[in-house]
Amino acid sequence: MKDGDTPSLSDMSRADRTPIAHVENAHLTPLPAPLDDPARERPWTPLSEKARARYECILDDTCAVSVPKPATQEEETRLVRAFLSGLDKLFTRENNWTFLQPLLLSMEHCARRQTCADACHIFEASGRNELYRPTYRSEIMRRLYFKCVRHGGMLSAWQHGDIEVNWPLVARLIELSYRCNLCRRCAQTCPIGVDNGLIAHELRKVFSQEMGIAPGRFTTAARCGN
Amino acid sequence: MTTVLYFVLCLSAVVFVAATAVRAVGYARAPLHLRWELYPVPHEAPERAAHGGSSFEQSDWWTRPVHANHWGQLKAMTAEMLFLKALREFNLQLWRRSFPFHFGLYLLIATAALVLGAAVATLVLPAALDGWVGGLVRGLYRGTGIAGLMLTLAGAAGLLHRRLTDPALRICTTAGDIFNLAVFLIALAVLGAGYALRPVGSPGVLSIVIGFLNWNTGVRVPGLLAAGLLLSALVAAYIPFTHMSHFVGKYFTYHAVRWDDAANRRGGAIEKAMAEYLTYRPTWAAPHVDADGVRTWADVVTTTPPDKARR
Repeated sequence: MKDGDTPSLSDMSRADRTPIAHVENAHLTPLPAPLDDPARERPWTPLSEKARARYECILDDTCAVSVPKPATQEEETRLVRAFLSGLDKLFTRENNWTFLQPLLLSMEHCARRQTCADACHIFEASGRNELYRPTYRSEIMRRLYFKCVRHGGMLSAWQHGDIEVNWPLVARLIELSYRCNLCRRCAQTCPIGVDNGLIAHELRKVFSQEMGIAPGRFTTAARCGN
Repeated sequence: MTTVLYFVLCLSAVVFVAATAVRAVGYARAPLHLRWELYPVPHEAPERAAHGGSSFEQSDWWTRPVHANHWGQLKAMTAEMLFLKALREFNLQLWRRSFPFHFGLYLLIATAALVLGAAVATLVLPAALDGWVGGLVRGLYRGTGIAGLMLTLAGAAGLLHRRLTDPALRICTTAGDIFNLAVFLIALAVLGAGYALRPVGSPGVLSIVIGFLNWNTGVRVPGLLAAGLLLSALVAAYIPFTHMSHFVGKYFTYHAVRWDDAANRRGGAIEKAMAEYLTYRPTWAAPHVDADGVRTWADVVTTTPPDKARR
């Protein structure tokens, strides 16, 4: 991957509504023989103009969740508020006793050593694209936790890092929470025991249980009573 | 100056212990979580721990006695705490910097414990450190102190250099991360310089600690050494407010999450806690959850949401 394509954490809040990372076959880790035949490779199908116009596909040229674009500024504000409300609930025992303790531990003790990165097959296979680094998503969540749940001020932002909260951030985070298959190999290798898989899992919980947003196949499964 | 030094040493110790305790109690009081252990769990029987197996693989496991392999767990804990085994296995480059830093800190803690023990022994029994015993103790804490300082300084410098130059670390590095390593480096460098450059005839470390325990403000601590002690004490007090308190978090991530395979047995503590949690009233807003703040967890998980909410 080229340096110019490396997304920073602040790119997640970029207001320009364009993807912050672009992936092509050439970026990916080569497959072993006989799958390494270039003639057998198919180019990525670009998202249709219709999909781009209708959904928030502003993370990486792919849409796993297909979040409809809010029609108005008020709608965006309402969705951001719903996200922050869900984030608050995630850290209360009444709503989330099921994972509160491991989540707090993962929020408060990451040493940012990146030991987990080599264990993540998504990060490795993407050609080590920073967007898919297991700590990228977690670091956004951690900054949101210290800023919006713990209500840390300037000192907290200096210690833990800051992040701008807006609808593009939330929309990209919805997609990014589904760029992890929760295998927890990162947690297995972390010397401290921080669990990036759990963080992705808990983000999905906010989107689903507070905002009613989940990928189509999941909602279909729910309709079928699974 | 000596009074200020004694006061800061006392205050820092109190802040460190209190803030660490508050953090630990906070985690300990958090509700039980759903099963989330990661295998291998080292307190499994050795033949199962070797391949990451579990006693739950046995048929009718609930009728069989619980086998706790304390030795296996102790071995895993020792390798992890003393030698940072996981970091060595999965991030060797960083281990080369992080291990000296952490092991150096352990030696400094051992030095502090030895000097404190020697000071108390001298106060209780003035002749306790006469003769070869005294020579041995002094030699021991000088050795651990000098080795600890050098290792910690080398490790902190290596970690700071890596954090500033490695692009993989840079993306998540905050100003606080740089500051945390820099203050370690500065405090311990000043402490080391103060010890090495102290004037001949000035009070040694043991005399200073004895003076501290007696609150003898007449002890003339050399300026640079006093500055090193002050800075080190302030750094110690600062640690529990940062992610550097991961010695607390790590206990819980291992014992309460990764290795917690306690079974929910009838009439046990888990069942009792669960009974309480099921009375909580969630307020998740999405319609398919059907949680209105009035219905309990028990209600929510045992009923199907209305059809319209699931569309």
